[in-house]
Parts: sequence; structure tokens; C-alpha cells
Amino acid sequence: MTLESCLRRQDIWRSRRISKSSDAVATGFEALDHRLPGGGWPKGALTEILVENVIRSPLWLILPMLAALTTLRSWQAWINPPALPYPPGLDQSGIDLSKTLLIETKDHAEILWSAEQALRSRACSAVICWPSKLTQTEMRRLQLAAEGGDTLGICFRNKTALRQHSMATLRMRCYELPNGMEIDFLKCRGGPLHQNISIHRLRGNTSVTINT
Amino acid sequence: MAQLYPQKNPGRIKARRHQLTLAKAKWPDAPPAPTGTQTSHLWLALHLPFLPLEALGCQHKNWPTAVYTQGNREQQIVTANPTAQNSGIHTNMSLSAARALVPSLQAIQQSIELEKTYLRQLAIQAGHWTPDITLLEDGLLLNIAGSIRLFGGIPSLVDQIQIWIFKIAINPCIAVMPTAASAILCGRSGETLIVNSKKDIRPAINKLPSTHLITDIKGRRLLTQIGARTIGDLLRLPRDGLARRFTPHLITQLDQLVGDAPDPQIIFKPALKFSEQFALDAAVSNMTLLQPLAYQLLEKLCHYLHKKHAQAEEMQWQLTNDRDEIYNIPVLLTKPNRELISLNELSRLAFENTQIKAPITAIMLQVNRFSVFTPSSKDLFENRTKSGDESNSIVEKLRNRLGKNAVHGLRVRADHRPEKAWDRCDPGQIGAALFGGARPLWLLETPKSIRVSNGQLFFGNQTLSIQQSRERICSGWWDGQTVRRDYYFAETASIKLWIFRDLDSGSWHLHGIF
Repeated sequence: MTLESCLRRQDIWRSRRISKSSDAVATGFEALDHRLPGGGWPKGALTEILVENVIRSPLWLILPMLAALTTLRSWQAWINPPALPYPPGLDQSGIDLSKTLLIETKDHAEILWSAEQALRSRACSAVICWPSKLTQTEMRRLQLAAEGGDTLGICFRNKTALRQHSMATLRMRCYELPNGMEIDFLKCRGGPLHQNISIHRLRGNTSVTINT
Repeated sequence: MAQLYPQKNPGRIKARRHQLTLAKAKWPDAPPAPTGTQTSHLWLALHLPFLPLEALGCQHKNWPTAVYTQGNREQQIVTANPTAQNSGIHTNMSLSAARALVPSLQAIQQSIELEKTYLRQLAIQAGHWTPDITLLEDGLLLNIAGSIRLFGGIPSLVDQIQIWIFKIAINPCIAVMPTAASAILCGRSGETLIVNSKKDIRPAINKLPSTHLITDIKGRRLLTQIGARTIGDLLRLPRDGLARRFTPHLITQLDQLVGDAPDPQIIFKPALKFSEQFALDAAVSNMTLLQPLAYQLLEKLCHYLHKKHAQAEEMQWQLTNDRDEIYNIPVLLTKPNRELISLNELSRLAFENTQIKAPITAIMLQVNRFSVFTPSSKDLFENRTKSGDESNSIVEKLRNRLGKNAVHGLRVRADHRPEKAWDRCDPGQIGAALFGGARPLWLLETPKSIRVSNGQLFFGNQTLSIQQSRERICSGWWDGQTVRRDYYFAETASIKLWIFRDLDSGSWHLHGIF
């Protein structure tokens, strides 16, 4: 094992050295890209996003990433969303609906099973899931599945999970702001824990900006 | 050149060899055909002299048994087994006479239907050697021309067929000839021989009695009158005279025998069907214990599919429990499949999804629909076909475990009403083009009513501020689900909402979240 091969590893953190890496997908928000190691959402890893209320999960935060990943693989799986991700709205945001898989499960075990399968399959470019609760081992399984399948996994959870230890590569907490979001990193493998990152919703052709 | 069975069954062959050498000596001019000639037709006739008995399942060799048919006036014996024949019973004897001769005779009425079914079963088994199989009244006709090389030459192929048929039939007769008619004729005459060149047909059939060709009583009388006792005699007679004395059809028959006239055969095409089951000795209550059995059935299925060059399109398991309740477990296939490993995996997932109330006593696998297997050519350096397989397999996997209704694609529908502007579809389908104003990312499938107090709208405890721009949607008068609404964008301190005012009732509702 040489020093280079050591340094190439993702899990070795080198202070003040954040480089653009092929193992990350740009978030589409400059403020976030600057602070994330690799310059974006980590690929082949699980990202946990804690929100005030899962019904208001900020889809706009991940839509640029989903649009960018569309061509990579066959599917993008949405597992057990709390409400309907509205197809016309997604379409306006540049999502390819023909690659969308909506998986509606009956119970918690099925969420975990299908999330693990989708993450591991190498057929999904991204997997977004809304598990009601997650134990540490379950989360570790999902993280390992994401690593095994080299799939970007996003897991939206209620802020009540804050106290729980997390196995995810990236864990962030979101506070709703009038025109965007304030984000605290709670865990970030390979990077410092930035606090109070405020990001604004994109304007332009995406319809999500509705104010004049 | 006439070939003979080389090793097997020397006793049966010897007499014939002698005859054939004689026949050959008479025709010294016939040049020897090169061995292994590739012809498109080489017919193997499989004659079953005891077919009526075998079809009825009478395998008792030591008990005199006969099959009879209802004739015009009396019941006639069709076939008698060797034991009965030794006691003096022969074909066309009346049943009463046979009973008088052997009082212990077991007589069964002939069933043409059963004979046909039996022959069809044999034909399916014979499909192992060739796909060109014709059903005869009393046997099978196989075109083995295309299979000679695969099975290592004619003698080896005939040997294999012989070993198979001798296990299941009494005194069957195999004749291989270049024409269908001569093969059938030799088979019916009990001539076991192999002839693979057209020039050798005449020597092989010359000695056969002409009564095999002409079966009606009038014609047979005529045969004795003109002294044409063998096929050879008939072949030597002037054709026009023969046609006048008998029928013109006889000339065609003779031509077909020697291969001068075409003789098309109807090929038997069995319908694809697969249904296999295991009855379990001890009832099984644990689904995982069924897996090895399921695997065995799937192995049989895959073997069948390979043989038929087919793929399964619809597949279903049927489990029966000790209360005789039947569980149908369909295996959902997104595309036709014939791979043992993936079928086994999908079946396992389908089993996991099934709850059984009582121990299982029988397991059955059925395939209801097949499609032709078309092997796709694969690129040497291309990995994409592989990912295509993966993308299908994940949908299959999820559907088999979670049920068909748990996995969908999403698409846009051309409808102005927001709740109808989308639907669930099969994954990968493309919807309509989008129109209308900005749409939210989340939609509440049932709109939530918004509290109004003092002219202010409230979302929870937060007041809503409405923006001026509105979108009026009035649609749906044609299907009774009329919608007359004004849609607005609204904001609380932190989130943006999509709300509407019902124009009929004037009430406010929340419909979407941005």
C-alpha cells in the first residue's frame, strides 16, 4: 500500500483539502457545493436529511442532483413518499419521469428491503426513501448497500431522529426559511461540520420560484 | 447402398441381411451411393403392431389379452397380445370365436381417441431426436435427415431411438427409407432396415407383398388374377394398364414409394404446455423447505424451454395445503425469461410474500404463456446490455416481493384538473406533454380545507399571504367530476403552498406544497 493509494481513499479525511471528486454529484447550490467534501452529494453513500416535517421534505434541494443523474442509470426510486411527488411539478423541474420508480410499501420491513435492493442493484442512479424509523443496524445496512451498488441514497427523516447515532456518510439538519433553507451539517465524512449554511431556492426556468 | 443395423439385435437382422445381399446381387449396375449422403429427407417409420393394446395400458404379457372393435355384424379382434396369439387368436377373428378358443381371454374395446393421445405423447418424446414428426394411424414417421450429424450418424441415431422404443412398446419395427411412403410400407411389413439412397429403394421393397399397398377386397382379387404378388411385380407392369385396371391413385402411390412423386407430410406440432407437480410425502409448513422442490420443478421447466426453444411469459405456482385449499402464486415477469437462476430467485421472492395457513401437501408449477426465444447478439465490449438486464430484474424483484401494485412509474396525463393530470403506469412509460402554469412538487391527493377567520387564511397557526396571480381551472364537465377552481400561490413564513378557492362553494383548500 502506497501513500497515494491511502490518500485516494474516501474515508481518509485530510484537513482543508476539499477537491472536486468524481465520487460526488453537484447539488446545484453553490453554498452547499463549496462546503461538501468532493463538491456535492456523495455518490455510493447514504445521505440523511433531517427535516421539520417529512410531508414538507424539501424536494427542491435534491432535484438538481436527480436531473443531473438521470442519464446515468435506468431508474430513480422513490420509496414510500409521505405524499405524492407530483409528476407535472417534477417534470417542470427537469426530472425524467420515465425513469421514475414509485414504490409504495405496506410496512417498515418492506421499505427497508426495497431500499436495500434498489441501492444494491446498480440499476438506480438515486434512491430516495422515507423510512418511519431506522435502527442503527438498519441504517448501516442501507449505507453498505449504497456503497456496494455505488448508488446515491437520500433518506428523509423527521428531526426527532436527531438524538440517534447515524451511520450515514452525510447527515444534515434543515430549518425552513422564507425563501430557502438553513442547513447544519451534523456528520460529514471527510469534511468539517459547517453550521448555518443558508441556501436559496433556485430561480429561473424551474417553476419552484413563485414570488415576483 | 443398403445399410444394416450393425451390432444390436443380431438375431433380428440376420435374415434380412441375407435377403438384401441377394437383392443387391440382382442389381449389379446400381453404383454405391457415398456414405453419409446429405439429403433433406430421410424417413424413419416407427410401426407399433400392438398400439391398440399399449394405448389402453394393457402391459400384461402372460395373460391372453385382445382388443376388439364393433364391426358391422359382429365384434372383431383388432390386436391380440403374443400370449393370445400363441393360443390361436388372430386379427379379424370374431370376438365370440376368440372367446370360444380361449375362455380366459381379456377383451377390451378399441379406443381410437386413446391411441391418438398415446401417439401424441410418443411424438413429444420423439421430439428429442427431430422436430419433423408425423402421426400415423399405427405409429410415427420421423424425418431424421437433419439430425444425423448431431446424433453421430444414422446407426447411432437409430440405435438410440430403438433403445427408447423397445422400453415402451411390444415388438416395434423401425424402417429408415429415403421416401416417406416406402418407410411406412416397410415399417408395416415388419421390415427392420436402413436404406439411405433412393436407388436402393426398389431392391428393398421389391419383395414386399403387394397386398400391403392395395387393401380393398376387389383390388386384392385382381392382384391374384394378374399374378402381381409383390410390389416389384407392380412396379414392372406398364403404368397405363395399371391405372386402368386399378385406380390412377395407385400410380401416384408407386411413384411416391420410389420417390418420383412428391409426398408431403403433415408435421405434428405439439402445443406448448408446462405443468408439473410434486406431491409431498410429509406436509411442509415452512415455505423455505419448499425451495429445493421448487428448484427441481424449475430445472424441469428450463430443460423444457431449452428443448422447445421458448421462453416463459407467464408463470404460476400452485400450492395445495392439507385442507385442500389452493394458493395461486403468480411469478411476475417483466419480460420473457428462461434463466434458471433468475426464475428461482423470483419464485423465492414470490414465496416470501405468501402466508400459508396450513401445511403444504403438493406443489405445482404451471406456465401458461410462452414466447419464442430469440437470442440477442451481444457486443464484445458493451456493458449496456447488462445494465438493461439489471434494470428489468430490479423491477421484477420488487414486484414479486411487494406485489404488482406496489411498484409503478409516474407519468403526466393531458388533463387540466390537477388531480387527474398524472397517473401511475408501468415503469418506463412516457406520458403526455405538459401544459399549464407552475405546479407544486408535492400534491395532496385529497385537498385539505383551509381555515378562514376574519378574512385571513390560516395554515395551522400561521397566516397565509396570497399572491395576486391566479390560475382558473374549469374542466371535467364531461365525466361528472367537474372542477371549477381558482388556484393561487400562497406563503407562510417558511413554506410555499398551492391553494385554491372552489368557485361553487367559495371554500379554500390546500392542494400542493412547493
